[in-house]
This record gives sequence, structure tokens and C-alpha cells, in this order.
Amino acid sequence: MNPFALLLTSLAISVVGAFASLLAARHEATAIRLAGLAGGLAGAAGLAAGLAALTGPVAVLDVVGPMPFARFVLRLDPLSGLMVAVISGLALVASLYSLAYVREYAGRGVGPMGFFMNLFIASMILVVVADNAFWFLVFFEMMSLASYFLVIFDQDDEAVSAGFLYFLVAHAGSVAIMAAFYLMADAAGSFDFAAFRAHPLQGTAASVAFLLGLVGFGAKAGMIPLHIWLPRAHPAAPSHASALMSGVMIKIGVFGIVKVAIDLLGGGVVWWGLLVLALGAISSVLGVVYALAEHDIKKLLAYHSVENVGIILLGVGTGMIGLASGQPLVAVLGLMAGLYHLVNHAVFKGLLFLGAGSVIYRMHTKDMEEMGGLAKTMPWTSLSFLVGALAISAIPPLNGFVSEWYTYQALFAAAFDGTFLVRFSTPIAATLLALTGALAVMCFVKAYGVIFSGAPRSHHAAEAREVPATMVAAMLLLAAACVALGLAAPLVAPVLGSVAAATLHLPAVTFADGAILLPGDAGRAVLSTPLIALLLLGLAALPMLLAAVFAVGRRIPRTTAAPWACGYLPDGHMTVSAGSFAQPIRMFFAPLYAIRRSADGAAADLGHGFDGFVCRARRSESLFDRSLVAPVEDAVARFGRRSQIIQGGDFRIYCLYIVAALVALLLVTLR
Amino acid sequence: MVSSILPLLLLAVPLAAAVAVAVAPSGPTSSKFVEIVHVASISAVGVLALLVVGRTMAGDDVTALGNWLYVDPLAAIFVSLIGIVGFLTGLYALGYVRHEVAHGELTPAKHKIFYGFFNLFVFTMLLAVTSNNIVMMWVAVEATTLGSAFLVGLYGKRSSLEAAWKYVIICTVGVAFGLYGTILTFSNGAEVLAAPGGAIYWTTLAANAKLLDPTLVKIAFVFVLIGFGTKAGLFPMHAWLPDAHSEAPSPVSALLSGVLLKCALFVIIRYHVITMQAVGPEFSQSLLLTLGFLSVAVSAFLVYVQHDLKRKLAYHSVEHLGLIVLGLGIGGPLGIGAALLHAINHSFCKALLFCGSGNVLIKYGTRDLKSVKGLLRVAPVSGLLMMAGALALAGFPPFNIFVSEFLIFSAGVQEGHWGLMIVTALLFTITVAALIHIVSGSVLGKAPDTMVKGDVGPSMLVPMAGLLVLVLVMGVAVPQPVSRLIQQATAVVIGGDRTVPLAAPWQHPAPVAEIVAPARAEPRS
Amino acid sequence: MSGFQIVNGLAGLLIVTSLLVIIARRPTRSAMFYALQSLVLVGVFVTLAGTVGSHELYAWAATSFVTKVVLVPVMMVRMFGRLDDPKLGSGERISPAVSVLLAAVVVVLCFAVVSGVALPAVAAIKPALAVSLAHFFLGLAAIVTQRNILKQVFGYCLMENGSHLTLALLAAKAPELVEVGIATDAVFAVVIMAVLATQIHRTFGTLDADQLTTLKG
Repeated sequence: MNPFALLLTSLAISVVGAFASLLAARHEATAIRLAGLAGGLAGAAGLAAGLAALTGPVAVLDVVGPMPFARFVLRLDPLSGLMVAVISGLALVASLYSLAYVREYAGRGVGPMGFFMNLFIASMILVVVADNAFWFLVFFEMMSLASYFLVIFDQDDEAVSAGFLYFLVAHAGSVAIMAAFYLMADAAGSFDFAAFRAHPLQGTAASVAFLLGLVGFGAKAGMIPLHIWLPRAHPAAPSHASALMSGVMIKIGVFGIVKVAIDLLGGGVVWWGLLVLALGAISSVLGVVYALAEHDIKKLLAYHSVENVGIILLGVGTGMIGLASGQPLVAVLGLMAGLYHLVNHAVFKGLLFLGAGSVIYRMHTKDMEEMGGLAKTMPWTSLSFLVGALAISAIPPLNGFVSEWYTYQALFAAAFDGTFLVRFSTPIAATLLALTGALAVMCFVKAYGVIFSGAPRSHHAAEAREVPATMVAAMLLLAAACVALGLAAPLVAPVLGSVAAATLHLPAVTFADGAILLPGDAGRAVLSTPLIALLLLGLAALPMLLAAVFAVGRRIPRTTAAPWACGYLPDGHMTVSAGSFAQPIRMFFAPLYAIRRSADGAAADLGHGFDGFVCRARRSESLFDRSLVAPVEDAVARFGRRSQIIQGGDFRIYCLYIVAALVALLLVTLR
Repeated sequence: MVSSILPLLLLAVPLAAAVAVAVAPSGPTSSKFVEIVHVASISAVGVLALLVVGRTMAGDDVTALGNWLYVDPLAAIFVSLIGIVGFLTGLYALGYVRHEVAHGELTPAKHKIFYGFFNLFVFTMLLAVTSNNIVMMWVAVEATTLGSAFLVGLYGKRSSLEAAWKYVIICTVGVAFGLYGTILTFSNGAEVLAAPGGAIYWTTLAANAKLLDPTLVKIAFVFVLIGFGTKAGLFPMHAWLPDAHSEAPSPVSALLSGVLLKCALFVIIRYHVITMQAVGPEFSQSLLLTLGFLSVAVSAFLVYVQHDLKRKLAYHSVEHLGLIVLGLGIGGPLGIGAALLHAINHSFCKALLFCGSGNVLIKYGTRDLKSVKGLLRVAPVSGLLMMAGALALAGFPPFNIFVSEFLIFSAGVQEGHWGLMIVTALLFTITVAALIHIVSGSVLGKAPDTMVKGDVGPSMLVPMAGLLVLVLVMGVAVPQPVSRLIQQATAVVIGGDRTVPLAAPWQHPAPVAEIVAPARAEPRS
Repeated sequence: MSGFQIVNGLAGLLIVTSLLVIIARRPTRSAMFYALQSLVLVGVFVTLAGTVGSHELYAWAATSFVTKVVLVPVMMVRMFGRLDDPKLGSGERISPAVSVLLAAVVVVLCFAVVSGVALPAVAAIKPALAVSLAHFFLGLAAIVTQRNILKQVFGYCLMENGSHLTLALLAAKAPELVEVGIATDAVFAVVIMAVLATQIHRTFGTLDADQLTTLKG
């Protein structure tokens, strides 16, 4: 089937499903089913369309639009096909998940929720395929609007104020994007992206347009310092919506940056890439540091989205540097790494948000301190969350590792040649990426440990049950995707590489040879995730195998009993915690620690210093809010109250205004 | 031009209705009669307005009473606005006024006064936009003030009387300047025309504008701009507007903001045409740009700090009128077309919101946004309509304001007003914040515990839903007739020949739009 | 003495009468002076009609006589007679002497402005034109400087007379119906202002414009 036919089918199903859900609002069970079914079918059709477009030729659909001034043009190229596939795939899973999950919201308007959810999905797909600036903006704003309604769904104070902030940032962003498009339209003489491509801006105008686009799309992507809305808005939405927002909506910000910088402006100059690289590095480090200090599970995940957008931008930035400095290998490698991480993040962040949703579904709280021990009561949720946590922590052979490996390779490739600034900054970015990776592991050890291991710390945690089958199925699907995208990297990487090459209009680069992954050529580095997987499996299987061979008949029966607690009854406080985890090691190596302490007092306080760093970072986090939004708001309000003086209440003064205006205009006229 | 009885009928119906209501005996039995007369009148006005517009669009400008009444596509836009918005707000008024009378806010005698003046007000506005005689045009605009003054002061409370007084004084003073502009234009024309009597007709003046004395034309335009600008609510002559809009009964606020301001704007456009023909476009455009920008700039801040719902909306009207005038000042087919489209869009949207504020007033008894909470929970349909209206006014797709704002900004960029457009866009971001404050603070959230849940009756919700449908239709797809009408009206303003089919007025003249997706090399592995 | 000179002379008389309208202590007295002034205006119309040979102007004079000399003053006397605000007093912000001075300044300014206008047809009646403009601004000044809202009604009437005179001077050939429209507006405006003033007097218990400043911001 023609990809456009599939795409339009998907859109039609979404729209029909949206209205069906709204109409069925009185019969909530029906509304949930209709919305979920429509989302799922639309997702499946969209996924097929996107996958077909990944390798297919560029297809353009130009229909007579309802607005006489803007042609309604849709375009499916490999990049937008990739986005469509990612959006649809996650939409498919989220819709499956919603079938059971949304029952939690019964009586609180599930009809409208299904309506906005389906519109949200449709508008996201339309944004990525729109090929006319006007329609792009229309769908971009509709996407913001639909997700705004999902954010404010709870209508409590936090959700409403988070929604307000979200809306404002989104709108300010779209104004910037609009300005960028106006600049391009001014040069191209049309609002069609095709015309933008044919007449790319040059010089300063191009840089201004790029910066405007970066601000606008960066705000949507949650790039620091424009991320302030993200950690508040994502947690406020229902979890399947959070999964879509965090998993794909913020990627549309990244897509926008790629679209403006590479597709519409043709690559530009090196400092664009460096800027993106710097913003990516800052976002990744600060994002994960903020995440470390979170107790709210969904906020923690939201900050990780900031971090991962940063990682994606590292790849994209490297790609832009490569394109601008004429290094095709760096360009394709960087962009491909960014796209790979984009796909991966969509999968594992979607998984983690769904997992968090499942936990919240049973726990009715977002505070991790009240959880604990859920691995026993919710085994499938626990397993899938573990896979997601491993993937986001870049543990091989899962997908997060592969894309981060490519990102490193791209940064290294860029570090070998290029201008001084490039050679100077890419290693720093690589170092920061390493730091990010380490901190992410730490964060997820904590998150998984606190939620799923140990003993339950609350009554809800003790009585938790596994979530319904559809929710489990949705999570397992994504977990499987995490594994598949990691193990099958030799198959996936070349496809994404061709997408990157097509987007850059550069010749393709070899990314895989058999089961081996390569960054361009085998001389640089090689990696084989299947091999790693085999080794890991073997490592785990070997002792068992040995035991099985040599220990036949000598099996000692196991008994299950409460742990011995010196005669006391064991309770939750005795379980291993992050602190006690390290205690035996400290005792055991006490002499070593003592030497270190005496040798280097300051370094011994490393842990302490790190806490301080996190703490300061936390303070700086509210600083963005305090020094970016609040002053502007205050200044506007102050100025507004000042200017209320002109409306003082005395109508005789008002009459004088008229005379004054008349005299002023007459003087100007007769001058 | 064809002579037709339609414009006369159009004017006669509301006038006759006003008279019929006025002479009807007061008493409970007559209130039914009054309502029937009212509904018949507004329906007839709606139908007749569309008929006139249809005739105009067929290619012939409609005249009546010799040359005194004249409806060209430009006037047709405003005639149809009066017809449609007048009809819907008139319907809304039925439920609203009934409620106010039932709850003792209005005495039964006021019931009659309301409908009488409502129809008179509609008549005066129709007269203003159909008049070809420039002095009659002024007379009609002055009469709109007089027709609506009692409506503004209808509640008879201290604040509403104060507002009515301010409204009458400021507008009569302001519009009096407009008379000077009118007289100057007329005497200027009478001086140079072969047949001096023709100078009273706008058509004649516009056709012979090249003959006029340039200095006098400029002075006259300044007077007209100040005079009718007062009525259109442009800064700094806007001072009456927040008071009158906030104190009037909500359907009247809707009519004031949705239609009356546009009627005054229409007169300004008429003189703008003459001035452009006589002295070139730069002069009047720069004045319009200045006043439009000032209106946007000042009202953005006033909107932001305002906590009274209706005053907030009123300042919004100042801002959007400012934007329309800005569009006219930008000029070019795109700017003028976009400004006219914005005038239409703003009418529908603002009427919807003012009707919504009436629902808020009925449910909460206050306009203070700090006390209005959780409308969506208290009155779901009203809340939904309010929310849609506020988002529409904030300029979000798929609502109509987005389309016209986009076009005005495009026009500004196309004409090279980069700085101006950027500042205006920033100012509009402030108002978006203000509108989202309405949504997040008052429509959403928790309702006060004392609130009785339940919506206002369908008699008020259905007309609002009608307005929302218009807002959506204009946002999703500007209907073909509307875009053709705007195209023809734009041709009137820029003095183009309407028989030559223009491209849509907002389309770029450059043929680049025809570029098909370029078959660039798409290398793949 | 040519017709134009009579017109100019009568126009000067208009300024005097309008000052009387403003300075008069009681509204009913102002109404009388207003009637007197309108009579002078009618005189101007008649003279002008004879001088320029405009039949329309005779009709104007007739309607003006009916509306401005008879109808409006009678209405004002009847309605304003019932309204009184002893606390407000005359309600003037500036003393009569200053008012006269202000009027003089306005007239001089208007002469200066009008002398700059190059309209060949009005060369002979420039003084009258200046007076009409000054008249208009005097009315505006009355609105701005007076606290008594009834005086503001008179201010409006003065403005209206001023613009009416301008219209007659510059647009003598305009159709009668135009004049009827303007006169109707004027009558209705006065009626509506008077009714509103009555309601304000009843609700607020005062005629003080300084009390009408609660709506702000």
C-alpha cells in the first residue's frame, strides 16, 4: 500500500476515534475502548506508513487545502517517515496501555481524554509531514493545545499552573518559530517548505532564522535553559500521555531543529553545530543531576528526558558540525547517532513512563519513598522497568548503549580533525557524556532499588497487585523493543544511517558488517551487540551449566523463611538501603579509607562534595524559573499597573486625550 | 451599480421593530409581543443582510434612495457582520434578559427599553455602513452612540450610569471631530468637482479623489481618524470603551465590541480610500500604523493586569482593533485583506466571549476573575465555550484568529516592517498569557463549594454554540464566498478594478508558490 | 455692508453668547442664553443664505429655529429645572474672568489656524470660520472645565452649534436632509443626556462630575 494511503488512514482513524470517544463520553467503558482502539489502529497504520517511507522514495501529497493562501502539502521523506514510525509505534503501545489504565480516571471525563489523546497523536503526525510553514504551525500549535488539555486533566492547582507555564513556553516558542518561517518565506516568496529549500537564506539572515528556530524548537524539546515547563508538565499528565509527551513530543523539537538547520537552511556554519553541541552537553549533565535529587518518580523521569534530549542534541550537533565543515563521515555519523538515540529514547522513556504509570496505578502516589518491594508483587512491571532502566543507563547490549556508543564515535571522529574549536569542544562533550552516563546509572540504581527492591514501606506497597494484562502487554512490547533495538543494531543502524544520509544529502556510510557495528570504517572501532549478548548469557549460564553437570543428585532443598534478625522480627527499616549498601565495603577497607583520608582530606569528602554539587544544581534549577520567567512576569505586571494611570476615571481627562491626539497628529501632518 | 429595494428594507425592519416595541403597551402580556417582534426583526435583518451581500457579490454594487445608500463589497462585509452577530447576540439576549428580569436585576419596564433600543442600535449601525452620503455616515455613527447609551446604562446602577455618561460625552466629543473631517472633505470636493452636489457622495469623492486639495485631504483624514477612531476604540481615544463594555448587559457588550467598533472602523476605511487615492498611501498608512501599534502596545499591558473579566475583554478589543488598523496601515493587498478578515474573525470571537461573560455573571454574580473559579465544573457547556473562545482569541489554531493574525504578520514581514512585527508578536504573547490566566484561573480549577452546579439554559447556549461554529469554520477553512468577498473588498480599498479577477489578495505576487517539490538528489544506501 | 460682513459680525456675537451660556450660574439661565445664541445662529444662516443664494440654507435656518431656538431650550428648561445640586454650587473650575480670557486665547488660536488654510471659497468668511472653530473648542472647554454635568450638556450644545456653523459656511450646498439628520441627532443627544443626567441625579444625589470617577484601571 502506498505510504500516503496508510498515513491518511491513520489520521482518519485518529480523528474519527477522537470524536467517537467524545460522543460516547456518557458510556465511559465504551469511550475508553473506542479511544484506545482508534489510537491503536491509527498507530499501526502510521507505523506501517512510516516504515515504508523510511526507505521508500520521497513522496509529496499536494491537495487543495481549505485556506486559499497556503497549499496543503504533505511530504514523506525518510526523516519524517522515521518520526511518523516512532510516533505511531509509541502511540500504538500507549493506546494498548490506555485500555486498562484509563479506567483509573473513570468519572473524571475519559471521553474528552480520549478525544485529546487521539487529536494529540494525529497532530504530531501531521506536524512531521506538513510541508508548508502555515500548516506546520497550525499542527504544531494544535499539538501543544491537545497536550495542554492532557496536562491540565486533573485540574488540581499543580496541574493547572503547570499547564499555564507549559502553554506559555509553547506559545513563546511557536512565535519564535513563526518568525523564523517568516524570514525564510520572505526570501522564498512562499510558505512552502519546497520553496524554502529551493531558496535557502544566506548569511546573517540564515543565522537569525536558525537561532529563532533553535529557541522555538528547543523550548519544545525541553533543552536547558528552556526546559522549565517540562518537569512540571509531563508528570501532571496521565501516564500514557506523559509517555507520548516525553517519548515523542519533545522529539518533535529535535526534529524541528534538524528540519530548520539541515533541511531548510542547508547546514549553515560550524558555530551552529557547536551551539547545539554545547546546549546538548549542558542539558544532558544538568538534566541527570536534577533527576538525582527527585523523589517524585515522574519528575525524575521528566528530568531524564531533559538529559536524553541533551544526548540526542550531542549527536545532532556533531552532525551539523560535520556538514558545515565538509566532513561527510562526521555529519552522517553524528546525525545517525542522534536519530538512533531519538528512537531509543522514545522506546525506553515510553516504557519507563508506562512502568511508572503502572506503579502509580496501584500505589496512588508518585512519591518513591512510599514504595519499595514491588518486585515481588508486580513482577512483570518490575521486569519491564528494569529493562527500561538498564537501557536508559546505557548498559550493553540494550539499545541505549548502542546509540550512546555511536554518539561517542561521532564525537571522536569530529575530534580528529576540524578547526581548533571543534577539536577542543568535542572531547569535552564526550567527557560530559561519560559523566552523564555514570550519573544516569546511579540514578536508576536508586530509582529501581527504592521502588522495587527491599521491603514495602507503605500499606499500599504491601498490598500491591500486578496491573491488568493489557498494561503488562504494552510494557513488555516496549521492553522487547529495547532488547531488539540493541541486539539487532547491525540491522537497524544502516537504515538509520541511510535516513541520516538522505537528510543530509550525503552518500551513505557503512554502519554494519554482518553482526559487527562500525562507525564508518572498521579501523576506528567495532562493536557487536549480539556477541556481547552471547558473552553475557554465557557468563550467566556457565556456572549453572557447570553446576548441572557436576552436582547431579546433591541438591540441597531450599526453605523459605524470614531472615534471622537476632531474635527480633525483621521489618522494613532493616532492609538494605543505599547507605547500608556501601557500609560493609567501608568497614572492610577501613584502613584504605583511613589512608585516603589522611592523605587527601579534601578528596575524602568527594561524596560530600558531590551532594553539595547536586544541591547547588537544584538551586540553580529554580534559578531558571526565578531569573527567566518571574522577572519578565513581574516587569509586565508592574508596567501594566503603571500604565493603568492613563485610565484614571475622569472622563474630562479622557476628552483631553482626544484633543491631544488630534493636535499631535495635526502637527505631524502640517509640519 | 443597480438600484434595489433591499437596503431600504434592511434599514426599515429594525427601525419599524424599534417603533413597534416603543409603542407597545407595557405589561406582562406585551413582553411576549415584544420578544416576538424582536426575534422577527433580527431574523429578517439577518436574512436581508445576507441577501444584500449576495447581490453585491454577484458583481453589482447595490444602491437605494437615489445614491444615498450604497453597498459595495467593503460595506457588505460589515453589513453581514451586523446581520449575523446581531442575530446571534439578539437570540442570546432573549434568555439573558429573561433571566435578569426574573431575578430582579432589571425591571419589566427595562425589558421593553432593552429591545427597543437594541433594534434602534442595529438600525443606526446598518445606516452607518450602508450610507453613501458622508454626512449621513457621520450622523449615523453619532446616532449609534445615542442608540446604545441607554443600553449601556440599562441596569441603572451607579456604575452603569457613570459608564453611560462617560460613553455619551466622550463619544460625542470625539465623533464631533469626525464631523469636521467630513465637512472639510465635502467642501474640498465641492470646490473642485464639476457638480458640487456630488461631493456629498463617497462614491463620487473616491472616483475623483485625484482632484482634491492634498493638504485639506490630509487634515480631513486626521480629523476623521481621531473622530471615528474614538468610536473604534483606538488608543488614546479608547477611554470610554472599557467602562461601557463592562457595564453594559452582556449581549450589548457583544454587539458593541463585535460590531459597533467595526462600523466606526468602516468609516475610517472609507476615508482611507479617498486619502490613498488623493495623496498616495504613505500618509494615511503611517498614521494608521502609529495608532494601531500604540493601541496594541498599551492595551497589551492593560489586559494583563486587569482582573475584571469584561474589562479585560474590552481592552482586548482595543488591542485587536489596533491590530486590524495595523494591518490596514501595513497595506498592500495582503495587509488589507488580512485586516478585513481579522475584523470578521474578531467579531465572532469577541461576541462569543462577551456572551460567555454573561453566563459567568449569571452563575457567579461577579466579574472579578479572582472570585470566578471552576466554571467548567459549575457550568460545563459555558465553561467549554468560554475556554474555546479564550483560546481562539489567544490565537490558537484551529480557531479563526490564528489565521488572520498569521496573515497580518505575514503582510508586515512582506512589507519589511520587521521590528514592528517582532514587537507586536511579543506584545501578543503578553495577552496570550492574560487569556490563559482566564482559562487556567477561572474556567478550570475547583469551584467554590457554595456554587450551585448547573448550566444556563439552552436559549443562551445555542447562540453561543452558533458563534463557536463560525469561529471554527473561519479557522479551519475560510469559506469560498467569504474569501471572495474579502478579495473584492480589498480591491475596493486599494482601488483595483474588480472585474479583473485578482489572485486571492493575500497570495504572494511572485510565482514562486508554484515551485513543486524539487527533485533533489536523494542518495541512499 | 456686505452679507459676509454681517455674517462675520454675527459670528462674533456668537462667542459672546456662548460665554454667557458657560458663565451663567443656573442651568435654566444657560438654556435661555443658549436659545439666544441659536437665534443668532439662525440669523447667520439667513444672512448667509441671502448672500450666497443658497435655498438650502433657508431650510436650514428654519429647522434650526424650530429645534435649537424652541425645542431644545424648552426641553432643557423643563428638565433641568427639576435638577439641583446645592452642594455643587456653580461647579466651575475656573472663574468667569479666566473663562473669558481662555475664550479670547481660543479665538486667537483659531484665527491663526484658519488664516493658514487656503480654501479660496471661504476667503470672505474666514473670521466666521475661525469663530465657528473657536465656538467648538469653547464647548469642549466647557465640558472639560465644568464639574456640573448639566454644563457639560451645554458644552456639547456649543460644540454642536460651532460645527453646525462650520458646516453652513463650508457646505452651504449640502442637501437639506443632511441638516435634518444632524439636527435630529442634536435633539436626541440632548434628550438622552438630559435623561441620563436625571437618572444620575436620582441615583447619586448629585450632579458633580467628580463623583463619576469610580470606574478606572
